[in-house]
Amino acid sequence: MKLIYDNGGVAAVVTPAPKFLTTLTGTDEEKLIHIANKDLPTGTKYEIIADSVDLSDRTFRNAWTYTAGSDERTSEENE
Amino acid sequence: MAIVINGSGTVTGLSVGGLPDNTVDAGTVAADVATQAEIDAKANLASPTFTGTVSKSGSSSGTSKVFTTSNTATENWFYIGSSQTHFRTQSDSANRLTLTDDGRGLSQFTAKVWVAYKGTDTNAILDSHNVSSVTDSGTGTYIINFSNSMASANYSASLSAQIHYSNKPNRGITDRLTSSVTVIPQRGTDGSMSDTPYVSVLVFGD
Repeated sequence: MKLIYDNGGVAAVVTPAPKFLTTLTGTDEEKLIHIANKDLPTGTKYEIIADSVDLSDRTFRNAWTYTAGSDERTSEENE
Repeated sequence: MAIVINGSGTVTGLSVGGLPDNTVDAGTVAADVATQAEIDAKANLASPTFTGTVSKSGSSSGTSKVFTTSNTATENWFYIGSSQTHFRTQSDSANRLTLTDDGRGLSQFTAKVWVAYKGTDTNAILDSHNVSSVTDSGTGTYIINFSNSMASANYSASLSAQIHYSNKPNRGITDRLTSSVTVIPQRGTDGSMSDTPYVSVLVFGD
């Protein structure tokens, strides 16, 4: 799973470090929320996307935009 | 009546098991015999627990060894508790090595962060240390997010990358924060940037 959010008009994609994920507890979604709270500025709107989403074609990478979906979350202050 | 043995002879009537209880007191034993309390105060050979400071006395020159082992096992463990433990000379805080219980070695001479990252296709983190995630924030721009923040942003970050486009030989660091560092591994003279299949970042500092 990855995180996506708007970064100045371009969609940013956050890839969690596998070694860091092993240090976290909870479900995969809870782990991603932890990373969002930690690595995204507080108050950032974001979504969690599945690994199955194909992001490999980067021909027009800077044209990617983030559009809010039904599962949008907001990053909170990291505890 | 006291028995006095003076010279050779045979004493009979003693049974196996020694003297009866309470027939020997402190005044009738040799002065250097340890009491039970003294024995209990000694460290157990099998699993000793030290509650004070373990010291090594001796000359100020030469080799000082507090712990040695003849164990030929492939791994000899030194366990530390849940809080940090420092290895250092008594007054040399600048050159101390701190081993943390989450597997980091903190010092001026050990890497605080390193990552090998694939900037193309799947944007995979190939391997890393003290990295929580990598943000792909656009073509050829990656943010390395630290698991544990640096104490100061005045750290030294080294960036290396595979040359994927020969016309974009420049690379650099754009934002250096205590919590992350942003790197641009392939930048052309026209300012354009490109992804590259292998990005390596190494951070030393406080």
